[in-house]
Amino acid sequence: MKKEKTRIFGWLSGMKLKQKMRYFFLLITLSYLVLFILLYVFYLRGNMTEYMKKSNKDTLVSTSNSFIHELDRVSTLSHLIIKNNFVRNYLKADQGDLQLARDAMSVLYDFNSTINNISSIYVIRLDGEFFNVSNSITNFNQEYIKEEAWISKIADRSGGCLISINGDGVFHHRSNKPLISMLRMIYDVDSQQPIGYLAINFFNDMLYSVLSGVEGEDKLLSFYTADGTVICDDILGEKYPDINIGAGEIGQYEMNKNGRQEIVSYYQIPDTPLILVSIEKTSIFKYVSWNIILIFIAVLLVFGAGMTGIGIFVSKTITTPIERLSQSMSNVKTGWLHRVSIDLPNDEIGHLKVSYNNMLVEINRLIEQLVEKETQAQRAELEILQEQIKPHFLYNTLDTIGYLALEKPRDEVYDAIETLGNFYRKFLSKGSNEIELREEVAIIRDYLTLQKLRYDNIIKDIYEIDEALMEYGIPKLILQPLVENSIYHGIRLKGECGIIKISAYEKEEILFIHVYDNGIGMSQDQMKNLLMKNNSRSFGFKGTIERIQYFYDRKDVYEIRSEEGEYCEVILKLPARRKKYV
Amino acid sequence: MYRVMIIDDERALRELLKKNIKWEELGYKVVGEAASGIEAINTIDDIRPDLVMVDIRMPFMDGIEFSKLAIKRYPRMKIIVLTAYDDFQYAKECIGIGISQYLLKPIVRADIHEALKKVAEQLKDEIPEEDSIIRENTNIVYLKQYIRDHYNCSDINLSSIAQHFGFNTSYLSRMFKAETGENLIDFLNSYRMEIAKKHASENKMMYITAKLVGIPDPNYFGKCFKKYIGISYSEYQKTIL
Repeated sequence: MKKEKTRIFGWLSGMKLKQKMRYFFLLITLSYLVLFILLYVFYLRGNMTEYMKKSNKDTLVSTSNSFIHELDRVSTLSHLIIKNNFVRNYLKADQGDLQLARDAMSVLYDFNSTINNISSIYVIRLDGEFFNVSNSITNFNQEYIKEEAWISKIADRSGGCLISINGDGVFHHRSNKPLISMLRMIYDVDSQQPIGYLAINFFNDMLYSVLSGVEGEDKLLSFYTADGTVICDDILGEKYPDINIGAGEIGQYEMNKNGRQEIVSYYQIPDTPLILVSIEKTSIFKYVSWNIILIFIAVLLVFGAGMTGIGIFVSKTITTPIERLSQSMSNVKTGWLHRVSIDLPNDEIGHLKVSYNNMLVEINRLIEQLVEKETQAQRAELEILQEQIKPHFLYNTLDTIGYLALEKPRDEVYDAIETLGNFYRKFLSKGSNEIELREEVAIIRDYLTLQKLRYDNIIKDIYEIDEALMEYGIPKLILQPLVENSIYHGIRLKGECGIIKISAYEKEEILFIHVYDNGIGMSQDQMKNLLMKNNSRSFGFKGTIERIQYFYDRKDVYEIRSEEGEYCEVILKLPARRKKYV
Repeated sequence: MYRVMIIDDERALRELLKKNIKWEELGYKVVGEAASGIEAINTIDDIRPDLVMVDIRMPFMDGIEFSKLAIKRYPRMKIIVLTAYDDFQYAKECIGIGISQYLLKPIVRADIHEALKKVAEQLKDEIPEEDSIIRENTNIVYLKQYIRDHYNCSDINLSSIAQHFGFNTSYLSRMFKAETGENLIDFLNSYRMEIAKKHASENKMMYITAKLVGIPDPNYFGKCFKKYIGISYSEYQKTIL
């Protein structure tokens, strides 16, 4: 798991900035889409269903109302029949009189021609005699009107209409089409006793006309009976599904059909055996208006365009310049530190370039300084060596020894030659720039021994160095030039025998080495000029100090004290450490 | 025999030259030596060399400086420069001012012999010096005053005074001795030492006094002090303090 994480992070960080940017934008777009889908599924969709349910319920109620209204209209018009004298006379007659029936028929015809969708109209006497007008062949089962249950149902309406299917079994259309029957009792005006029945049978086409205009593309409406039979056949020829009708007057539930959600609503039309059912397929377009969808698409497009714009902007102003800058910078890998010379805008990236260039300039300067310093130090050392090796010291000493050979005992000559050889061996020894203090002191001893031979013992040399310090490492040949200065610029100019004293001690991890002479010393001005001017005295001193400063990489390495005519003392302050053996 | 003077700050080298070169065979004789240019200025009129062998690197007055002065005052005198510095700049300067030979240390006898032979040839061809200008009745007081005024010049000597007054050097020397009973250089240096005594009593260090009285080489000054005063400078200071 951790490995996976590391791998992914590695993959991410290994990508170019541009790639990262692309993936980032893709991610944002995707999350936007996901957000929308979630919004739709969990919020919009729920809302939509609620809305649809309510809308369906309203539709059902209003449709049912218009249906009832239609029935009321028919019911009102049926008074024309009930109150007709010919009809009444026919009903009140002791038995069914054909002549009376014929007189009453005209009312039925009028009625029939006024109301649409009428299948048949029956006027029935209590004894079962009847006359009728039919638009199609309808069977009339007289058995039923003798039945108490059937009669009481109508009587219960107390003059009102009873709506039933097929007149509760009294009527039957030949084509098996269900008939919507409106039955009512006819009473005598004087006695208020029932004298007969009026039955108006409608084709179920009457229901179609109620539904027409309410139905939509994804919305089906139909009338069912309480036992689930479809009264009104599907207009589009589509089979109506079986639905579960609960006990309530009104009910709604969701149903899945072929992966599509449908909302089923039913409404028990009051005072009828009919149940109005609507089945609607849910569709977002129905409830989210096209405008909103267009706005949404527009927002999506604007968002996409914005993202693309930002991408292009970021690419143009950030990633591309950075890429170019980094490409240009990568030249540094090839070795020399070239400055970046590409054109960049004068923003942070441009500043980055400028800073980078400044840094390079600084680095180059430092490198040059370092090289310069190194060269200077080497040159200084070389010059010191050349000054000595340029063999005037050797030649002069050889002449001195030549004189000794002629004048002095042999062993003195041998001593001198041995000293000379020893001096040059150490002096010219190659290898480390660092030598032990012991070796440097040995060089001084030999050097002074030879100089004393040349200048008739005008020098007395004294060494005050703790044996423990002898192993400390110091840069090579830093004392010899100082001692040489002591002879040539101090003691010899005084005309008296002089002292050169080398002393060393350690204090707070600093190795102090004093080179003291009691020659003519220096004035304040001379001391100041020592590091400024280029005379033979300052040459040896300056070069030596510079070498020491470079060797230890610190400025504070010496002190100089002098009193004119009295003494001169150079104090070297070196970090106390043992020689490093490489 | 040509007269030779050796000027070198190393005694060993002077000795080596004296002992190692067959001077007589080449027609030379070493008649004097000096440990510095300053000493040489003071003694050269006594020594009267035909040839000076001089080292370049010397304190107070180096070989080149000395040679320039000597060539001006003693036009006939030959100069051989000896040096351990194999330096083209020096060599060029030496040829420019009329130095006869430029030899490198360490000493190689054959080279020196050859140089000496060449110089001897040149000396042979030289016309002996004549007493050219002689002025009579020179006021010795005026002469002494000049010396007293210029004692602190380190390059003043018999020759420079003679040149200044337009005398022949040997005439001046003889005349001064006859008039005063002492050599001119002794007069100059004893005057310098009298001044030096004053400085000594002011507790000045020897090398400073030496500079002040016109003998900036404290070694030679020390010699002079002892010679004219009888005791060394430091001893003198002890006696008076």
